Amino acid sequence: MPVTKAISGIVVLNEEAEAGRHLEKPRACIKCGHCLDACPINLNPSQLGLLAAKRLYETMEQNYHLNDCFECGCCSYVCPSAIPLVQYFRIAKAINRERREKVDA
Amino acid sequence: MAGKAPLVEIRTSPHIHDTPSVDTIMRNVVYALTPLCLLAVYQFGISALALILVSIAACLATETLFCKLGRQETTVSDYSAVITGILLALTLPPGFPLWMAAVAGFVAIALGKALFGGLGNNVLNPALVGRAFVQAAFPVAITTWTPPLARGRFGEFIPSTWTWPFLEPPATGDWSELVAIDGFSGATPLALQKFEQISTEPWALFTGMTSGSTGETSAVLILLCGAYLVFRRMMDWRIPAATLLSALITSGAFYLADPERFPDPGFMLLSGGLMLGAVFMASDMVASPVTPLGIWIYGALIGFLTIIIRLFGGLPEGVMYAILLGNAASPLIAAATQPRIYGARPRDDKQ
Repeated sequence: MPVTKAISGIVVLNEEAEAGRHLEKPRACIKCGHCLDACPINLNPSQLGLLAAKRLYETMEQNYHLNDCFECGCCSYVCPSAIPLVQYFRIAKAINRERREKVDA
Repeated sequence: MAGKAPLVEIRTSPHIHDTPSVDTIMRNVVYALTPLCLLAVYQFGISALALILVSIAACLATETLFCKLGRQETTVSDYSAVITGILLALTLPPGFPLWMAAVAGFVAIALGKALFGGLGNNVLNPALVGRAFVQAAFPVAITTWTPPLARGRFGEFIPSTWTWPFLEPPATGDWSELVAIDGFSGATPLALQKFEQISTEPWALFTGMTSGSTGETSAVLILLCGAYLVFRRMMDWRIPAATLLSALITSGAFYLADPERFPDPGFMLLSGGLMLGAVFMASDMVASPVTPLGIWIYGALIGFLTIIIRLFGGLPEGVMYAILLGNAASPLIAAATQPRIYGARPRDDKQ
């Protein structure tokens, strides 16, 4: 794989991290609020994650500032329940984008 | 293509993860509650030990049952049912009949948690749901207190502990007088203050050598155990801080208005279940709001309601109802206090 100037870092996982938490099954959100403390934009990832699970993507965008998320991934990093929050948000944004394109077309 | 295609697993970032999981957090809460259990057993003897064990067993059994009924993977291993069991036992009087404790444990998990969809979905603190149920169902048993440090407490059960189901527990008044060390009575400091205007030494309240619920007596130990969890970043310090501060301010205002009629704020903070409630129950992650401003409002509401119920309600103690009301209000509080996003001006919030 070529290393270009756009590559900002390389993550090398040890065995422990490789076998680690991202393979764990996500649990229910226990509302610990760690993601709110971690979010640099002051979003509410906990609420966004619950809405994403219910596929309420438009609500996420309209009421909870989904499009201000810049996908740093801090919320997924700190989540004790191993919920793939930022991954949900990427999917939600993509689906919203598709919907908008359909409306425009 | 011949042979096996290489298996490539594609994932999106982040690829690394912070270590404490739900299990780790819950296990540490159990560690933090252990000293309180040990003190309870030291103070109230084998009855307290039996009460704690029965309560935990009832909670675990109910959790298992509901996981089976719902055909779900068992969630017993996440320790949350153990916490509910311990917290429930710590809020019950030490001589509480064991079969009633089992009922409380069942109600706590069944009505408080399982029916809402398990850990993470409960609206109210499960342990307090269980306690509220037995408070309504067995009003006498739950207000029957026995003295701490009774003679022979490690060899002999409190008479009411082994009550047969559906039979009336024996009165413990005579027994209490027989075993009590001089100067200790069965009545709790709050009841003494409310009904007989006898105040208790602040030092006794601080160290916990008074009668009361199994695990609520020692303010200093509860604070130390809570500090451990805060230090491990497994509990939000803002909730107990807001609750205690609000209780201090509310009771201080009443005390300044009429020192003859109302007890001083120090007594209010150290007595009854306020410490245990503020540190270990109000801070229950699931039933408290997640938003930073919401946390302060939630804590303040609980502290305020506790003092109001204590001073003007029929019961000497109000922490349980205050926390349950706070839990019930927390979705509303969270909805009203969504954080303002980075760079937004106040008026942008309402788009």
